Amino acid sequence: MSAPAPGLGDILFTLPADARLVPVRELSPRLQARIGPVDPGQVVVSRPGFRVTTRLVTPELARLMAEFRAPRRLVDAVLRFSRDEARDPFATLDDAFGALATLIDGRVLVPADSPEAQGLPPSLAAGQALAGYEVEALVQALEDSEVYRALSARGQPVALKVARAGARSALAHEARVLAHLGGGDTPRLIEAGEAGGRPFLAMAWRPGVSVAFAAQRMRASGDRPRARRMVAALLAAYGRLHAKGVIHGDIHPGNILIDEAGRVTLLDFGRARLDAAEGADPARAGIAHFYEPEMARALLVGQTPPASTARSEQYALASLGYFLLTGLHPVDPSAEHRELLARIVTRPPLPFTARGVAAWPGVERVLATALSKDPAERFPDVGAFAAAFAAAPPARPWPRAPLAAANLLEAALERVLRGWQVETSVDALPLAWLALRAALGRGDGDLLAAADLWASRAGPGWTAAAVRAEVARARCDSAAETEAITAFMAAADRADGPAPLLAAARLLDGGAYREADAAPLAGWAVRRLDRLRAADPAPATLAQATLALSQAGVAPLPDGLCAQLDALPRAAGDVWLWGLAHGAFAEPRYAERALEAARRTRDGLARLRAYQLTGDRRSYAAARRGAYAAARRAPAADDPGILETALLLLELVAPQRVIRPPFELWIGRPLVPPTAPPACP
Amino acid sequence: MGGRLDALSLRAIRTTAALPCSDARTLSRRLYAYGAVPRGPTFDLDFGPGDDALAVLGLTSGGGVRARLARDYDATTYPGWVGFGRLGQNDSASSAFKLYASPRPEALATAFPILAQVFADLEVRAFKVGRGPAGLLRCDKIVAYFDSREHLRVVAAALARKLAGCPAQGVPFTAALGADGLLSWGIDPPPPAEGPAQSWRSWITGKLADAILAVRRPDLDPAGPVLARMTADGVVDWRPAASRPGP
Repeated sequence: MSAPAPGLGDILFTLPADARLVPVRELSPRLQARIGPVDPGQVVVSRPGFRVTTRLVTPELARLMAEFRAPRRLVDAVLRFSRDEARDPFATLDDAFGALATLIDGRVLVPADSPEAQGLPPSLAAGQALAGYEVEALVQALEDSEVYRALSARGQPVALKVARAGARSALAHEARVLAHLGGGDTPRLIEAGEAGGRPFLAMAWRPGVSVAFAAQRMRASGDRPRARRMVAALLAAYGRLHAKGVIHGDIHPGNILIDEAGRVTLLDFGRARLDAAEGADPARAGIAHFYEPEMARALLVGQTPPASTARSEQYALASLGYFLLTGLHPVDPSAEHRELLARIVTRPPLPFTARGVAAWPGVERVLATALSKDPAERFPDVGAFAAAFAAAPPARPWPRAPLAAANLLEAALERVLRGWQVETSVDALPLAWLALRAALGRGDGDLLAAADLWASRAGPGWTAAAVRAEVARARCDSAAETEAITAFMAAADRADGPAPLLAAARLLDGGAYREADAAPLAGWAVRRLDRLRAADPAPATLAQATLALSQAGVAPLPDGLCAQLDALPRAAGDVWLWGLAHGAFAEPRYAERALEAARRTRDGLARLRAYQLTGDRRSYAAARRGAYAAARRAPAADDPGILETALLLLELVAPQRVIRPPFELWIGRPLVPPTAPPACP
Repeated sequence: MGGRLDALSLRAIRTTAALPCSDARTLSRRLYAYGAVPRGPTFDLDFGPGDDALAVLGLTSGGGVRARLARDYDATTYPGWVGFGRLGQNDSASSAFKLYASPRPEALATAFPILAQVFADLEVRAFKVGRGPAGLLRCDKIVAYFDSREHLRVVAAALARKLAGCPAQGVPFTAALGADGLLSWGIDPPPPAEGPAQSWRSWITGKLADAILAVRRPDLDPAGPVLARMTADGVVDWRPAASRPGP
């Protein structure tokens, strides 16, 4: 990033009219969860239509930025801010100079007399003509250009891309690239020129939706073969692009369309390169999630980014392929830009199972090669990557359970479903949990209603309240979920130890999708964590609670936590602790300790957690053997162990989704016996 | 009585009657929501939060379904629903008959384009689809409105042909149109002299909740007595008994 050049001190800068400064605490729970555990006083800066759409800044910097709501010189803004905040203006300027330079580079602060200062309204209206094309509708507005659907003089639909007045435009370059490519996987160039002083290019209209939307439809249908064909077609298209000597330079889902027939269209060649020579590219940009490690590393150390190459695009394509197949990025993203870059540089891609997605070992191996941190370890070219991807074997389903195991599970579920015939049971809580897990695994409304019924009978303790909250969430009943969470906090206040914190973390996890207001529970959990810290608990206990709440997005990871984890004795901690540690830091040594812990236990769910974390099939096989052996012993229907075995058999079907029952968090204590049921569920 | 929807309705009555609750409104809400597919991490990941799920239906920008419907319908979003009204139709005209289509969530990406095409081709005057995760998980996620039972019958027959084999969820307390539970119908009760109008399902689940509270005993299967009370209230096969026979 370049600093403001000398002489900029006289320029009046302003925040554009459409720029928004929103404290993290005022974001929706969904967005807060997406950002992760940061100081809630931090502020999100965003501009609609900008490629780099959001960034986090400190509250102090946000207040300084607010000075630019009116046009001001940099020094005047700093002086006003320093006066209002009783700060030394020279120290403020020193502290803020780099950040202000970044904001100017990123066009978040813009010259007051520039068109950008007015926001991004469309410059052409429907029906208006430009260069003989009749505008129908705005498709996309970006900071430097607009794309319209339009009609040619002969009534043919076209995509009309027009540079914004005064913007530096890459349209002439894009036109050269499109002319060179001549259609096929890219829109055919019809015409390029200038109208009213604004460069434009007209391309053949290509129907379709963003590849991200197309992939979402396929995932929602469970249609993995089709999703795989789509990614294969996408890779093949890029292989052809590179074979024609073109590097796209801006790979992300918004630049790729898929039509109803599965045909791929690659868009936006403003950053494309016809010269594939290596070197630096000061103008390189894009969506950070798809940066390759070479670029992320350069940005982290303040170097000019390397130019995009076929190998760097291979990484971006593999990252995109992973995203399309799973709905998630190969490394856990961070909203903080530098942290995201660091993760791209250092963290290996997560196995699908660690993202809650069913394993696909053949495809994952191919993607992992293309996602190698060292470019030399990737495929020699995208064509080879595409061929390997197309040849990867399909995912194999797990073998069917033997008859005894299948019968045991179905008998347990039959008992669950017959809940309406009995008044209550000492097993109400495990039955509720089994019903809920079965309902989620099978997408079954009857089992969900049974979970609701059993949970309503499960008594007043915090474990029962936690299960009721999870059942309510599955029922999309945010009022009942809020009520159960309130009951959970009241009951857990009377309980000691870290277990309620772990349950709270589970209730808070997945906040991006929650309708109920979880803020009270988040506050409760943070206070409870402070209380736990003050009680000086065992280091492993405190670490587990801290990691769980961090994963849930309500508590930042404290400095030195890695050192505390590393100092734990070799046999300390269970697979759940080391799983959390691996999730937070992506350190292979924590995954190894999780596997070690799984080998020390006979707990089938813990073994499945080890599989989920690492994709280690031996852990899965060990859990399966244990479950089948327990089923073969043919316990009596009223044997308490039958529910435990049934739950394990159920989780074996989708081990990537395994979680620990709340009542297992209640370490060393009996389950709360059902007493008076709550008034109304 | 028989068939998949009837069995589903009986399970809903039995399970809801067993809840330790004596509040009619709570029981009515549970009955109304019965049959929803549970929301879990897999659904959240695949369908996405909020209106992200519109992509699954093909209703996002560039989507084929959106382009098809835009030719004939105005779209309106409101809490819980995306509504479509046929261009040029009188919104105030009564639409007494309701057709429920209940594909399972994983079938929506395939089934909704077919439903939209049939609704457009056969000039259905209005229909709505559930919005957001809760809207697509509920059993009555797609509702079409008709002025005549003949029109409803024609559209249902076309859908039954084109959606044969589609995994169905099923809408309890509605009258089945076929054995698989995918399609069913209902008639909203006449608007009361005072107070807000009720839909068929909210009306009948209210009646059922009252019946449950009136008849339930610990040693009694509530289904029979509850159904008997419904028959006495003029409901047969989950539709009004004789006043307006169905398709």
